[in-house]
Amino acid sequence: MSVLSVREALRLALKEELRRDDKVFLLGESIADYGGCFKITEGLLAEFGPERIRDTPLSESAIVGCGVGAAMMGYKPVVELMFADFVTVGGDQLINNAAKMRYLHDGELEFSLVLRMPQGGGATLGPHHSQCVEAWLLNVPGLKIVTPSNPADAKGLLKSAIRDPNPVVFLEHKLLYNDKGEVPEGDYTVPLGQAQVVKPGKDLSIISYAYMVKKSLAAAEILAKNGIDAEVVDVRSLRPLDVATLAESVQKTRKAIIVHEAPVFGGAGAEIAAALHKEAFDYLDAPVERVGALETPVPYSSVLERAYLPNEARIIEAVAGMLNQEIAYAAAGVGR
Amino acid sequence: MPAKALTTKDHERLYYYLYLTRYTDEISVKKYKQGQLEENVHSCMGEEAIAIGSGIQLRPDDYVLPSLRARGYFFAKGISSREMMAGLYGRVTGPARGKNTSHHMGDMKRGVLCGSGIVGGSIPLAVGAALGVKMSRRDSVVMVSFGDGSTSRGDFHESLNMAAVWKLPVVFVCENNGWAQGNSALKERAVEKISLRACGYGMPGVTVDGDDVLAVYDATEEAIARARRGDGPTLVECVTHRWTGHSAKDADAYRDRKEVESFRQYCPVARYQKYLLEQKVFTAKELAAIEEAARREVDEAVEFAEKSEYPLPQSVTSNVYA
Repeated sequence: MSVLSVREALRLALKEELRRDDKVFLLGESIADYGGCFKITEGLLAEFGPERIRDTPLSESAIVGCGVGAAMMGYKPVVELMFADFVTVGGDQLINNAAKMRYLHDGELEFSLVLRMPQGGGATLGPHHSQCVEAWLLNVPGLKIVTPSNPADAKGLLKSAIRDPNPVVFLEHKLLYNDKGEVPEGDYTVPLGQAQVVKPGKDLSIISYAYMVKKSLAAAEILAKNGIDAEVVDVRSLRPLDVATLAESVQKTRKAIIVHEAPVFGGAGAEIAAALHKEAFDYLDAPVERVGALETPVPYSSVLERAYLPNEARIIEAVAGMLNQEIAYAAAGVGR
Repeated sequence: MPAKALTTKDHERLYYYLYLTRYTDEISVKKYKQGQLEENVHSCMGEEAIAIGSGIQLRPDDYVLPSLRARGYFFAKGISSREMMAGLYGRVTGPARGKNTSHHMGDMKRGVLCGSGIVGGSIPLAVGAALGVKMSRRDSVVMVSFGDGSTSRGDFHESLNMAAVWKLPVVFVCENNGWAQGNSALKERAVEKISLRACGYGMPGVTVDGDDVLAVYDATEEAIARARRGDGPTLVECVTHRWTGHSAKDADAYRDRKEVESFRQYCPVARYQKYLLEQKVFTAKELAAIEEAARREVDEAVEFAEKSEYPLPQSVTSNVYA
């Protein structure tokens, strides 16, 4: 086991996969000498050279499209977009080309592509550099979508994503990059399509992903002090969705709250809630609740941003509402 | 080799494919209007010389991304009339087995990449394919064709820029027929020659008579050679005329009838025919025989397509993911 940050874990995953397979190469803006906006790719240029750590012009549509074209030639591009918000620019190439290529060739095509991008707010970066985009892409058959919450999953999921013969959207959270955690040594992979119980419990299931897993775990600690034993499940893979694991949790606890950073309406939580109502209806004591950001763009000023983003307090309020009981927590110490 | 040095066999091939494209177009529009085939046909009538003059030079290891209208590229890359017709008819015997329309169906074995139905959306794919070619140290080229309307897209700009910065082996072929669906060129851009844009990207650009198959041949030969030897991309603008509406559903009421009728004078098939007769490459009888063979191929292909099975309904969910 090593203790690595999410950043280090991602970099290690990229390094290992670049070494393992000649066909893997990176595409993105300022990923070579500059080392990437969030320094994920720092140092890779020296080992792998400018052809495989390839800086692109500022052209998100052509960057993604280029990745698609190279993938059609049997290469395995790992495309970095500087911020997930920019996926709108590359969206046509991702949604209308990448997601559909295999289908339109009726399977007569090798096609492997990873699109990595940092998402999320809480860094006062403003409305165009703070969004969570998973729900925008969730409704596209042909895409896979994964999002790690910790270093081990960051490494394991990225390696799996790169090896997966499908287009995989790999959503990183910018506030997690410095978080440290244990990462198994060696060729450690985490399969796509699997959720994970990160804290077992029996009173309710808090189902979350990415940065909100941290918030959910913090909320679970506060709940524990109030005699409520919450189970926290990390979804990890949004498409395909591991409904079996999520349903199993809810069948045990009989109550579910979904927590994601993206706004609630039309968020991924809606899909999860629908799936749980179908698979665990007879077990549920209450309708599935969803906690997410407010229905607004992401504001810049920290006071507004804090009001916008979900946090431990909002999770606890949702639990209190669901259990119909008072839950004590200090308002201070709960926040960003 | 320049068009002047083409052999009789080369000319035969060129004329055959030119006529094949023309006749395929006539038949497929007719069949669509009769309600026999479902795909909304986007006729290339009047524009055949571009795809054939350029595409015929592509090697088996080269790649092409045909534009919406440029059916000739499929033939040039070795896709049979049967497969083309089956593609139009949406049958299981077509290259996409019914999953894609014939406009952008792909066949990796023959170097035809599946393009995008979003106008201009195929152009970045060509950049990526060419990057793959360059990274694998091959001397294949990637040819991508698109209409003049496409050049208003951001993807055109981003792709030409990227291809030039990285010196990729792409031949960008612009089929300029002066119309972007219902928009005349006047509404579409403030420059007359699209090839002028090339210098903005740092690549050569040339404008040729797109209705002269040998002029297209020469211009694209040079572009292909440039790409192959590693000198990077070229923009070849082929000026042509669109004889029909945008698609078979388009009544074309927004264009002046007299003007559209006058386009026939530029007919690429007739012009090439005239050249071949005048240069005594073929006799009228020999040309007629070539045309007859092409018509037989297409008529047989229609029979084949109409008798072909549709894909099974349950195949709708196959091959979404590996």
